[in-house]
Amino acid sequence: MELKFDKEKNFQERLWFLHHYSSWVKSVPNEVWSRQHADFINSLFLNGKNYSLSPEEYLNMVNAGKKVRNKRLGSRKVF
Amino acid sequence: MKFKYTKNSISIDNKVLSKLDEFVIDFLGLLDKYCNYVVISGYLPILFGRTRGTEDVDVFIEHVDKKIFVSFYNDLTKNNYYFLNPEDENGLYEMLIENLGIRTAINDTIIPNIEMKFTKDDIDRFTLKNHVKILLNKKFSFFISPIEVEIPYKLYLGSEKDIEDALYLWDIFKKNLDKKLMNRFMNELNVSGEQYGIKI
Repeated sequence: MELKFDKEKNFQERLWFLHHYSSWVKSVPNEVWSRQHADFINSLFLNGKNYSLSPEEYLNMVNAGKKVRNKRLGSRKVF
Repeated sequence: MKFKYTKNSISIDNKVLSKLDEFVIDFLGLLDKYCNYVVISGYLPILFGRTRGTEDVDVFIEHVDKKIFVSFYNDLTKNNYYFLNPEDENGLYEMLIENLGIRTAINDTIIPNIEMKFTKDDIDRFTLKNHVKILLNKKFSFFISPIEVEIPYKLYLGSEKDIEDALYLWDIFKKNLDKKLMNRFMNELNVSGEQYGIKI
């Protein structure tokens, strides 16, 4: 199966946007960036009320994800 | 963005608070009565404007005895919170002792939720001891992890989302950070951000 999605290029484009966005945030008053930001976050927050998983299903999902991540990272170095 | 940055505090005025900010402020107002804590990880870049969602807010808490935890548990449940974990207060405390996270949310919701853990190693204890006070709009305050620790730790976690979080915090705070401290944690966690423009 052919897959033309370039993961690295996509990531670099996301980093470019991140720099572009952070430059904008730094250039405008707090009222401006935070109002747009709050609108975005609030829309996600409201959508959370439609979440379809039960607490048990949700915990199973996040714990499965953590197992994969911990396996990748190994135990954290303690210093 | 305008902010006042010192070694132990970051003040932001005229911030339009999101519902996520209000959720965090409300929860930490309850937690603060019972123990020392520090907010870490994904909420921090969001607090400072990064546009991404999150399901949970991660909080380290100091080790407290069971009696204090049960008082906190009772206070939370009186104030419209519940625990997603099926365990009762005794089981939840056992989970904390075993270095597992426990999750609480507003009644009848699942996201966003708060994941709490006891500090378990030296880096956790460093963040708790060297917490940074956030003051929003001269009215609301709470404690977060030092940015100098957060950036290396995000690089250590290493997913695209984590690297973006690290880079965003760097972009916002690079002129203010204690580079010596940050370099210490970069070395301890054996990470580098140079390929992403994080040069210290």
